[in-house]
Amino acid sequence: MSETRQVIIQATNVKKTYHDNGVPVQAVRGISLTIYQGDFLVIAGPSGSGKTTLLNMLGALDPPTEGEVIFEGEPLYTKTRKQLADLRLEKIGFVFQAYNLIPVLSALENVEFPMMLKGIPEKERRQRAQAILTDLGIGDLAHKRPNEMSGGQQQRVAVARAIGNNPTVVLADEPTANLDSVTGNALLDLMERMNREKHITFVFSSHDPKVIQRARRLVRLRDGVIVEEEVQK
Amino acid sequence: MKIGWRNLWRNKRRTVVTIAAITFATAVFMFTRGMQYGTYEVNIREITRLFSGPLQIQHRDYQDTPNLFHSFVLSDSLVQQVTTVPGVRAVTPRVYTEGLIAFNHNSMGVTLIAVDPRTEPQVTTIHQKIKQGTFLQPGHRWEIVAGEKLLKNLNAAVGDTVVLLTQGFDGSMGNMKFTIVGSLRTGARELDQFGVFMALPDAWELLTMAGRVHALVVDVDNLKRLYATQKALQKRLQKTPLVVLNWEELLPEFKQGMELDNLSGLLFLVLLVIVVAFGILNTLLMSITERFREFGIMLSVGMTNERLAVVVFWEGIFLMLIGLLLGVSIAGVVNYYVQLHPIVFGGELAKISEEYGFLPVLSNTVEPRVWIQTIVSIGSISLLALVYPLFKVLHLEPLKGLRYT
Ligand SMILES: Nc1ncnc2c1ncn2[C@@H]1O[C@H](COP(=O)(O)OP(=O)(O)OP(=O)(O)O)[C@@H](O)[C@H]1O
Ligand SMILES: [Mg+2]
Repeated sequence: MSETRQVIIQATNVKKTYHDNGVPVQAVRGISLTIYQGDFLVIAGPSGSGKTTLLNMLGALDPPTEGEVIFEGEPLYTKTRKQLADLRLEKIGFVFQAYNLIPVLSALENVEFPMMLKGIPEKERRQRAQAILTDLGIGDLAHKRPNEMSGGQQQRVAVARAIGNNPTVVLADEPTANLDSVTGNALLDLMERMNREKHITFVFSSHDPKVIQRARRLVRLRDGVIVEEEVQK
Repeated sequence: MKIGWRNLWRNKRRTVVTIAAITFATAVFMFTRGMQYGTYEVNIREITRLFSGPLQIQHRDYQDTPNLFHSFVLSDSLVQQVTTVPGVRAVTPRVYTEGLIAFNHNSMGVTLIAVDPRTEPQVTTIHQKIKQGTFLQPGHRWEIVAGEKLLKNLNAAVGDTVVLLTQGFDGSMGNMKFTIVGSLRTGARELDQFGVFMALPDAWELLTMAGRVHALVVDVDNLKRLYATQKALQKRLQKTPLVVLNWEELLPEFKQGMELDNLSGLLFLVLLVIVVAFGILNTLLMSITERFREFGIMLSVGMTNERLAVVVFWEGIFLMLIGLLLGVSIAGVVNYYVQLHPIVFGGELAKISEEYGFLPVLSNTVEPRVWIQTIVSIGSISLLALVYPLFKVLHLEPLKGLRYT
């Protein structure tokens, strides 16, 4: 990894304890991780290892119980809720495992949604959203509602939405978990292409070996700690 | 706003239920309120037209101490003064006193009401309530019209001759023979059981109080301007010992009956509004909880809670406006129809309402105050029902929404 690469997110010894009906659950027990500009990073680990919790903490969705997350040089969780929302809007794209899309909106409108929040004029955002959908090979689905699309198509729309505002980083939590391997691979191809062509940083979690082997950087979690870190390609 | 609008049609059933609830409440509220106001209006109109008139001019002490001395001289100039006040339509003079009626071996305490047979029909509807015989005729002497119950109790009939006994202005006891020319059925017990009507000249002779009366009954052009007319009259009469009383002061029990009815009606409406508020609150909460995941996505891609709350707020406003609009439309039509075709009822219900001094009739109205009260009450309660859901949305965290299943 090159020395000149810019640091986007830096997590230092973050811990997260949930209280499940009064019983404390340590989901993340002290993780330090640096995300660089241009990363194509997979966070791997079995179910319950803390992947989602870590991604949420990196993505300004969930403050750690202990430790610090620095986003582009600024501590994340000293910000107000409004500032965090704005930061997510401007800098972070999210792809979740499922049910990513707003059901009442069409594919195009879903992609437009963050642009609308940003105040991009209707005509411009319509064009941009359509261009992204076409680039991702689903231009003809623009006017379909989520329930009229397959799971793979929905995840592509989710990726389109995530990259629509030119985010600094896209965080994807098991984006292929609900897809068959062909569709999942196609989605990975797509993310890889976006990473290569548009230099968008991707961080995603998975416990699927086929997905994991495509990572350029890999972090393995178990029981809320990093057990292995490697650069594959 | 667009999302709010679309969300409404997403769960059609719930949206329809919510709108139906608001519509129903609005319609019931407006119908009930309209029925109260409309029915009061009919009652006021009919009951004041029957006997009391909307206004009466009396000696200022007569209402508290009704006796022969608390009367006044009926002069042409006084009548002239009264009839020229704007809003006054017609006037008719009266003398009231207590007396005894005797027929064969029966005698009974009665209320004697002396009227001008020429002007009385211009102001009241007593002459239309004749059951048998005729009303008093101008120029005829020594004739009376009596309540039909009274005649029945006396065992007397139209055509019979009775004796009326009473104390005169000078303290002497007067008694005269009268012929019964008509019987009355008004529905008002005081008149049907105790009322005896005679012409003024006979009363003046019987009571030795020539030219004096107890009341000038005043009819007005427009009941809605009653108080203004009353004020104007009072002003015209300010240098006299006379006062102008309105029907509320003349018939305090009738007025109280209406107030009581109004209160119970309001109580019902308050309950209705509370029930509806909880209904609306419930559907709104359900619709929000159901979409926690969707809201979670919106928040995680960078929407602020405030903006989301605005969307939810508009949703609520849409529901409310549609419900209100439908409700007042329905009630507007129904109210107007009932106003044109009042519901007259009979049987036990009629007896009960007469017991309380009301006419056995239900009317309605489309007066502005009915619309205003409906829209303000239902509108504000709907807004109130929005507060808690909005509060929840404002405090929703993206992850809570996402994790919600
Ligand atoms: N909100 C929460 N309340 C209580 N416990 C939680 C909560 N979120 C996560 N946990 C617990 O924290 C631990 C880590 O959860 P996390 O979701 O981060 O794991 P994961 O690696 O994403 O698992 P999966 O592969 O199943 O998605 C688990 O034991 C989980 O039960
Ligand atoms: Mg997870």
